[in-house]
Amino acid sequence: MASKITRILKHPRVLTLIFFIVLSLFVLPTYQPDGVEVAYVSDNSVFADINEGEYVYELNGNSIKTLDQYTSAVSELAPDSQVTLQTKGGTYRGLLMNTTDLGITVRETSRVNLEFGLDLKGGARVTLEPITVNGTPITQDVLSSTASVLTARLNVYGLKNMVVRTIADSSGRSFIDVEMAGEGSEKVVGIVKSVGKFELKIINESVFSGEAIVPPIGEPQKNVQSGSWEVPFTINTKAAGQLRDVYVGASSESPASCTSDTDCSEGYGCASSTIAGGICLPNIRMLLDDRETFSAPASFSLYQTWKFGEVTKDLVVQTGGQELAEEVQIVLEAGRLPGEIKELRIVSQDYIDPKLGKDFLRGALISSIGALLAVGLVVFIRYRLLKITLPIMLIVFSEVLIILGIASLIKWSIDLPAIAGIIAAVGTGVDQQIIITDWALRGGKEKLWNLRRNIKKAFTIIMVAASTTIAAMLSLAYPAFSGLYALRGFAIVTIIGVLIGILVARPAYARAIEIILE
Amino acid sequence: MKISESTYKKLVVIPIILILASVSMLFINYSNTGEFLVKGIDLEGGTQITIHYSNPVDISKAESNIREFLGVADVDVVTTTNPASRKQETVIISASGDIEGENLVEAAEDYFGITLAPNTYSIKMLGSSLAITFWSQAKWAFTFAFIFMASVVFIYFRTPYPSFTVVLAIFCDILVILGFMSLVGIKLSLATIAALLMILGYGVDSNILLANKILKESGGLVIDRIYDAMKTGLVMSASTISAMLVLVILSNSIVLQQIGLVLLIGLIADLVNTWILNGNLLLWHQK
Repeated sequence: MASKITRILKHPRVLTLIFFIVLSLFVLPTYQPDGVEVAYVSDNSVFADINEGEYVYELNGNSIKTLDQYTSAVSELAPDSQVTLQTKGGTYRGLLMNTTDLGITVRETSRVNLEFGLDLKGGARVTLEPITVNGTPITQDVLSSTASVLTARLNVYGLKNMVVRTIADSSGRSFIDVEMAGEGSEKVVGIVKSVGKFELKIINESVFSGEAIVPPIGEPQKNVQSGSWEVPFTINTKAAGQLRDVYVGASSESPASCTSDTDCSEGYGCASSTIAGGICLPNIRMLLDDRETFSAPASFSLYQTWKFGEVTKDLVVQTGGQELAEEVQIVLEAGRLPGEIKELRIVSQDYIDPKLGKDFLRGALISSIGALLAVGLVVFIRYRLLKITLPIMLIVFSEVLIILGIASLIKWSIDLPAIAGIIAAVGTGVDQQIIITDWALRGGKEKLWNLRRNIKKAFTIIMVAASTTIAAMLSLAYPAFSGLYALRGFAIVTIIGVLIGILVARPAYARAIEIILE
Repeated sequence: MKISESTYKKLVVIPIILILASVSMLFINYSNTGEFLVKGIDLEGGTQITIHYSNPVDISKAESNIREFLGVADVDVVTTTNPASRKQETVIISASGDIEGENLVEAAEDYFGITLAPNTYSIKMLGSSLAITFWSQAKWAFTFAFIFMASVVFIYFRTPYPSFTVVLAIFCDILVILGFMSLVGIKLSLATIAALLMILGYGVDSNILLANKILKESGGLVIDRIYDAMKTGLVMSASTISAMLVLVILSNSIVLQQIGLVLLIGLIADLVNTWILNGNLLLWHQK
């Protein structure tokens, strides 16, 4: 017996299987100690430069070992105070303004290096149908630029890790799908719902909205002479006229002189000029969904042009730094959907409570283990031999392990359909091993040659069955069925499982059973 | 277990009755609702909320109350249980048609007498326009999968007759599943379509096993070869059926439960269609 086991373990096919098992065991653990890690950092956070996944040790000197400890440490925070956060990446210090919101969320560290789908970890998904102005089908170009506008909008809000994809069906209808898993996702629906409400205000008076902006928006450039950054953009004639009228109306007949913004009353800024020194002019404010991105008075020269009754359609936003210039560019673009689009209609929305996702994950684990044990029981009742049942079960567990290992390697997220896929793949795997075993048992009483020939025959059947399963699953991966993305995880995992089965697990099992039955 | 060849031939009435019953079930459904199968909200559109609620629920009363509150035709209430404690964990309320999520939340609050704070429940809303797209894509994807499956079978056998009977047996598996779903009121959803795709794979497994034994091996009576292959086939089905049974009982997710139940029925149908229907068709042809 012992010599047989050694022979089995030394066989190249079995060694290949062992290699995959070891690989999976190596990639699956996260090697993180128990505690909390940063799950999500908002761009507006006082700790905006912290990385997601960093392990948290201390908050304001309070040692953090559990989620509860973190929550209570956060509840002790006071507005306008200094916060110190100690993580694996280093010590971060930030000053809270009039808030106690750190702008980050944390989660308990995970022991397993697996991405879970929306349905298992919670999250939000919104699907939108772009409606064109004249009701005609949307072109691919417009669709993808709409999708990128949407992405830019969500980025402005500091939301990250979103998946934005476009879906087109055979009848020419198109959809945009925005998905964000885990923390912070509850905001997605709200942001997407209020699409691109750009407003340009003078002090508090609204002058024009996103429709008035004529694409394309220029790239931020550095003005070599003044050292400031500039974003050029164009507005339509009507808006240009309004802008002039409102601005001139809002500025006083004889503007107060100033040296900095603080010299001017609220809503006004200091526009400097070489000729007249600084004068207080009304601020031009750019808002995206009522959030201000940029506020500054018109330049002195533009003000002069306007005062002489001239109207200009070409405007340049001047900012001190590159970062703000880029943000202005995003806001100008994000606030403006392509002209062909009338509205983005929400056709589907999902929000999965993270707690519910956890319940599902636990339930799926319990039932999968139960299913595997049931299979083991049936196999044992049939063969009544541990030397057959044990190898079959070992192979089953190693297949599950390898599928998960590969999912972890290729960063494929595991959702409920993918779990069904694992069960399907493992189920066919057991079926195939039963075929191999039965075929091998029939040859066992005769010569070794017969045994090998029978196992080869069993393999023909297995190959046909496996190729049909793969062929059937491939239909789900076909691009024309992009709307069935909910089943893609199922299809991919089943294909991976079946491939691992016929290429690695089945050959190893066949050789093992051959040696056992000799 | 030894059944004489003549008795084996007579058994063919079982699959025939099963298939006829399924087809009539589908037609009865068609004459009642105008559709062969009732589609779930992910293929027809609708709104679904999942709330944490552990008190007992009178499902039919809840359904009719919420239906009245919303003024829609179709409301579904399902509860899920925690697999470990066997206690009720959540209530899932689905309503078909384009209604706003807030309205469904209100209806649930009204009936259960609770207040649902935002982000403490799950919500899923699918507009009927997108659902139509999903449904058309799902139909095509399934058709392609079936054609792919049939092609692999034809390539393997290279002769029309056995290829045809194998594909026929699998087609009958699908018919029986659909008939059963329409009988017990399981709605067609993306999850059940996934299960139907799996049945293509499982069905091919058992049918190839049978056909291979009859056609590609020699020696002994054809009927004995059928029994020989059946021994293996029954164990295969028993192992998968037991796994699905556990999944249906233990799982707390409707997705996994539906997949499990549909596969369970499919595997039982496949037992009959492979070992009696296809067996007889191949036996008859060998004479």
